[in-house]
Amino acid sequence: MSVDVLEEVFSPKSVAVVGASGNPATWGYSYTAHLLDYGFRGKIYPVNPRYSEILGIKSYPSLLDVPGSVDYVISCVPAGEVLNMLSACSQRNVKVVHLYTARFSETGRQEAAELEQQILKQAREYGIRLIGPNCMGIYCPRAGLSFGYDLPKESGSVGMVSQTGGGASGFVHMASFRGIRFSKVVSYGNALDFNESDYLDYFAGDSETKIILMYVEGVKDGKRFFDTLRKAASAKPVIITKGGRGKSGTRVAASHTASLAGFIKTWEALVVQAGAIPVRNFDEMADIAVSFYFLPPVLGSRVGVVGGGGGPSVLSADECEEIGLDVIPLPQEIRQELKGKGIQIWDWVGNPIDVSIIGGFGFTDIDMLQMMAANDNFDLLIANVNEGVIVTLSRQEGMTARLQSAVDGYMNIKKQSSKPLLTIVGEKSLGRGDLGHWSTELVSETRTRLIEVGIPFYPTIGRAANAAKKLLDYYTRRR
Amino acid sequence: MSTHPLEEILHPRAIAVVGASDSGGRGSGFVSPLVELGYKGDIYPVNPKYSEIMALKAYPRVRDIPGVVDYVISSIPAPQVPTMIDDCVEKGVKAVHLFTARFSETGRKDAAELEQDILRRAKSGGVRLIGPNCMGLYYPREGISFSNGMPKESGPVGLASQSGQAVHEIVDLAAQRGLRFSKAISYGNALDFNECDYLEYFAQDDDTRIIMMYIEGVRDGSRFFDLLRSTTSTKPVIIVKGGRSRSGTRATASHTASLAGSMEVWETMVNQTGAVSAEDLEELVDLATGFYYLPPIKGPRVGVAGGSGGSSVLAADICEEAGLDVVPLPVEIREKLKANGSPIWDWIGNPADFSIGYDDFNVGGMIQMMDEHENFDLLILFMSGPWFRGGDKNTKKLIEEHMKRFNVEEIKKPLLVVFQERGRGSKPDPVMQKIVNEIKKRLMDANIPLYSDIGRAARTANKLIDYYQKRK
Repeated sequence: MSVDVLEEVFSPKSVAVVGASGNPATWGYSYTAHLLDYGFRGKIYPVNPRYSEILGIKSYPSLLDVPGSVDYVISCVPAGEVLNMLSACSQRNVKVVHLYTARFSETGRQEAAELEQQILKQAREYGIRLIGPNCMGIYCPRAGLSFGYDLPKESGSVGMVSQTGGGASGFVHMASFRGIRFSKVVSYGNALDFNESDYLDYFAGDSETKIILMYVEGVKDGKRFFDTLRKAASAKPVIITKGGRGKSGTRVAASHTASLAGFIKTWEALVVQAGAIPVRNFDEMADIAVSFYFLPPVLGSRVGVVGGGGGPSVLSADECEEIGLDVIPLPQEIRQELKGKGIQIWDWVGNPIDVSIIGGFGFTDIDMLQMMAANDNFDLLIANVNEGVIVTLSRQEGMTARLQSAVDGYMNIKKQSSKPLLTIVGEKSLGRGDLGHWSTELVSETRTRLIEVGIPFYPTIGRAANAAKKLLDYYTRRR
Repeated sequence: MSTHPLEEILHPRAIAVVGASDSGGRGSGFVSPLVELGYKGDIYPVNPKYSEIMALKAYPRVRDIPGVVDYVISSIPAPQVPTMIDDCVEKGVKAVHLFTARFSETGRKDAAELEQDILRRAKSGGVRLIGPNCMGLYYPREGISFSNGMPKESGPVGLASQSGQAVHEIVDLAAQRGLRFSKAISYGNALDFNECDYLEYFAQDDDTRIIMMYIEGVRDGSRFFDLLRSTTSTKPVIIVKGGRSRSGTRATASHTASLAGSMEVWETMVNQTGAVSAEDLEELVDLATGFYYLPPIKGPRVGVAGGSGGSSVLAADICEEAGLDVVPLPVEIREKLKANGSPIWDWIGNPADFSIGYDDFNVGGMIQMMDEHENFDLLILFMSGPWFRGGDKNTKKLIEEHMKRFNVEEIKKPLLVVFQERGRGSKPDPVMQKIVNEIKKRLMDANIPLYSDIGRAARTANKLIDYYQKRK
C-alpha cells in the first residue's frame, strides 16, 4: 500500500508550500522557486497569510482558502504550527505531507519528542502520510520537484534514499559532474512515518530506477530492513553508506536525526549478506555509482593498467594489488606482437604501461590498451589520462591534441571491447590562480567528453581500483 | 653556502645540453625551460647537426665550447654517452645529468655493463652523475628546470624522487595548494649520487624546511635509515615507497632497476626513524601541505564544524577512524551559547552541524569558541563557495560576506579546511569559479591548508600529530 502512495508523491498534480515566503533567504521561498525552476506542470499554491503573491504566483492565507484539490504539501512552518496545519490538510484531503519543519526528537528535548509523536498520531487519524520531519524531501526532475538550486533538470536511472538532506543535495550536485543523473531522490530525516524500508521497497520496484543509493543513520525495523534490502539487491545494485559508525558519529547521529546507530562490523556483514554494497563515504558512493552507471559487469580481477610515467606506474601497480586486483605481467602474445611490429622495447615495456618509455618507438599507450582489450588474459582496463604531467610537457596545442586523441582512443576501445574501461583524470583545482588557466578548462572539457561517451573517470588510481574491486565482488556473489 | 658535494654542482656557471635539437622533442625540451626560467649563466646547445638552436649558437661537441662548462644535461642515446663523458672530463665539467636511459632498467646485460662503464669513466675523471634515466634538476632560484610551465617562485619544500614524472605530478599538485620548492631532483637509477646523498643534502640545506621523497629502492639501507633518523628531528621527511606489491616490484625493476624489499620491514623502519609514510602522491602532497601551513598539532582532540547533518555524522566517523578524538562539545561552550540566547545550545554538538543554525551560519561564533577552548587541539572546518544564483554582479561583496560568516583568518589553533569543490565534471560557472578561487586564495594566504575531503584532512592531521609526538 505504502508503495502506491509513494508513486503518487512522485507525480502530484498540485503542490502547496505552507510557510512559503517572499524572502529569498528562507526555505519557504526556495521550495516555491524550485517548483517554478524545475518546471512543475501542476498547480502551485504558496500558503502564507502575510503575502498575497510570492514569485508572481497568488498566495493563500491558509490551505483552506486554496481553490483546487491539493495532493502534496511541503511544510516550512515552525514545529509549533504543524498540528494546525495537519488539521487543514485533512480538510483538503491531502494525501502526503513533507515536513521540512524540524526541531523535534533530534533536539534531544522531551517536549519536542512528544510533539513529534502527537503529530504522528494526528496524521494517522487523518490518513495523511508523512515524509520527514527534519528533511529536504523530494528531488524528482521528471516531476519538476527539487530541494536544491543548480541540480540537473534531466532525469537518469539512479535513485537515492537519504536520511540526510544537505548530504543528499551535495551528493546529487557532485555526482552530476561525474555524469550521473537521477530518477528520484528522497531525503527522509527522522523517518517518523515512512521509513527507510518503505522507500527502499519503492525503489526496488520502480522501473525508472536501475541503481539504488542509500545514506542511513539508523534503522527503525532491522528485520524488515534487511528483508527488503535482500529483495532490492536481488533486483538491482544497492550501495549503502552508514553514518554513525564510531563513538562520536553515533552521538552526532542522535542529534541529527534521532537515530540509534549500531555496530559497524555487524552492519557491514549484514549488508554484504543481503547482497548490497557497503561504502564508507559519499566520495566512494559516487565512485561505485558511476561504475555501475557506465560500466559493463566486471567479471575478473586481471587488470591492464596505463600507469603514467615510471613512478606513477609503480604506485598504480601497488595500489591495484593492495586493493585486490591482479596486475598480471604483460602476456607473451602481446610481446611477440610488439616484436613482430619491430618495436625495439618489446621486452622492456610491461603492465602497468610506463608511458614515459614508449615515446618515439612508433606506438602509444592507446595501442597497448587496444592489445590488452583484445587479449583474453585481461578482465578490465584502467587508464591514467595523466593530464597533470602532459600540461608540463606540452604547450596548449600539444596538450589539446593529446587529450583529444586519448578520449578518441578510449572511445574506440569501448566500441570494440566488452571489457570495463576506467579512466583517471586527476584533481585539478584545489589551488590558487590556476582556475583561469587554459589547462583547467581543457581538463573540464576532457571530463565532459568522457561523460558524453559513457566512460567513467576517477580522481585517483586508488579510487578507480577500489570501485572496480567492489563491482567485481558484487558480480562474483551474484554468479 | 654549505660544503656538501651536491652544493658544488648546484650553481653551475654554464650549462651544456648535449643532444639538443629544435625538433620540438626532448632535446629542445631541456633548452627552453632554462631560457623560460631565466637561467643566468651561459646555455650551450650541443649537436653536430645544428649551428643554432633557439637562437643560441650550437656546438658539435662539449670540448668545442669556448667557455667553462660546469653542468651537462645529456639527452643523447646511451651508446654515445661514454665518449661524451670523456669529453666532459677533458673540459673539467663538474656534473652530468643523464636524461639518457635504456641502461640497467631494461633488464638487458649489455645495457647494465654500459652503465657500469660510464660510472667508471666518470669516477676516474672526477665527474659526478645525476641519473641516468631521470629528469634531473628543478631549482627555481637558479633558473634551472627540466620542463616548461614549472613555477618560477621558490619555497621551502625539497623533493628527491626516483621518478621524473612523479616530480611533475608532485610539483603540479603542490603548486595548486600554494606550495613552492627549494629544489626538486629526479634521480632515476642512482648510479652515482643516490637517495642518501640527496637526503643528506636536503637535511643540511637551509632553504629546505620540509623534505619529500619518492623512492623505489634504496642503494645503501643502513646509511639511509641513519640519515632519516637524524634528519627527522629537525625537519619532517615524507616518503612514498613505490614497489610495495608483487606487480609494483616488477615495475620498479623495469623503471629504475631497483630491487624493492619487504614492505612490512620498510614501514617499520621508516616509522622508527620518525619519518612520515604516504601511500600515494596525493597523500604526499596532503602531508606537505599540512606541514607547510600548520603550526605543530599537540594532540588528537578535534573540533569539527560547518557540515550539514549527514556530513557531520560521517565526519565524526571518519575522524575517529583516522585516529582523531572527536570530543563532545564542552559544557562551557554550551553555557555561553545559552547565555547568548541561542535556541540550540543543548542540541548542537561536535561536529557542529551548521545546517541546524540556519539563521546564523556560524552558530553564534562556534569556530571562534572552539578556537578559544582548551579541550581542542585542532579544528577542521567544512567550507564551500557562497550561495550564488547567477546574475549577482557584486562578487566582491559576496566574497566579503562569505569570509565574514566564518571569520577564520584569525584562528590561532591548527585549522584545516575541507573545501567542497563544485564543477569537477562539465564546465564550471566562470563567475562562481572566480569567487571560489579568490576565497581559496584568501584562506591559503591566511596559512590555512585546504583538503578535498574530510578523510584526507583527518588522516593528514593524524600523521602530523604522530610526527610531532615522536619528535618530543
